[in-house]
Amino acid sequence: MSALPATDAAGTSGTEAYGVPGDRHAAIACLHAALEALEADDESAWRANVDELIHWRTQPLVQGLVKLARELEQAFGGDIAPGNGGSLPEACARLEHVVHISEQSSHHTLDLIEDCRVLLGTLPDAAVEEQSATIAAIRSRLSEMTAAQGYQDLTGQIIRRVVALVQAVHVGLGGYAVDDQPLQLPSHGHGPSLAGIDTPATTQDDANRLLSSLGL
Amino acid sequence: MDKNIRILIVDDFSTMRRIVKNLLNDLGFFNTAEADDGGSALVELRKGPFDLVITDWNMPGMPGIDLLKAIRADAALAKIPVLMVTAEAKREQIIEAAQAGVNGYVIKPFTAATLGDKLGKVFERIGAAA
Repeated sequence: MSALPATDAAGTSGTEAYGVPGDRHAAIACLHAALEALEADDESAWRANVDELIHWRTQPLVQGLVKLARELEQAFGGDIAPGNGGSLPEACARLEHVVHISEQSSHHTLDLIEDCRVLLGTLPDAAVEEQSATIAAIRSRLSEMTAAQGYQDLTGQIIRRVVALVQAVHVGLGGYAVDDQPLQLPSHGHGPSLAGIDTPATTQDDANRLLSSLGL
Repeated sequence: MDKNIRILIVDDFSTMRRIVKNLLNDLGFFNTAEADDGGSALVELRKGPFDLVITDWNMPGMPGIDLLKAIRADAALAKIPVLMVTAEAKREQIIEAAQAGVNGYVIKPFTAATLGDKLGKVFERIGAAA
């Protein structure tokens, strides 16, 4: 028997036929054929008809997965050339590049902060009290600027989680319809909490209260 | 406080290792070493001696919580204070770290003042225990 949608008795087109009531005649024919084969003890015909029904039923799922993969690839700006399965890895490489350039930029800022500290150190000892207070205030702000560069670590952790997800999707699609296990993300923690997605993060104050309740 | 104590900084991001190192320098601590995950930290610690470990939690290879447990399980290292500096901020994680014997917990992003304050508390306890 040929593929169900093509022999659709209702005459709907192949792509529209999947799962719509219009091709119930084809399904009925296939089920009748399967029943006849079973009654006639025709094992191969029975299997062929049942397989065809299963194939017909799972086709929308497979098509949905393929569409999802294409949308993901497009979302990351990759090419969708036939036979080119490289755009998801390329998307990962782009994201890794973001981590790399933000890391370089952070180090550059830290270089400049260190230079400022050295320059401050070359100033002659301040005779005026106000002047030494100003220098101390600048030093304190330089420390906070240093701490603020921690954004690179936080954004980098979030981007690496997305990279892991994209890689898992890529690997998962490689064996589509064969492996129905959920995608597993390798993780040693949850990473920074994102507002609106994760449960709200514990603040330092919350952590302090919790720690003191634990005797720390 | 002895400013010459030896401090191991453990984080997979080179930016964060440098930030912690620079902030320690600002506070007068210059005797530091670095490692990029729990496994390489243990190698450094066993070459020792160290007086303090400042570690991230989420790292490829051995995460910080396992490093903390490994330190507490090793008689030669068990007494070293450990300060966790991490974006991991779930209540159950803080409890897990406390139960594993952490000496302080700083949540990223942090300010220089917060890190200084938490280090001060850890040093106070080292002083009190000594």
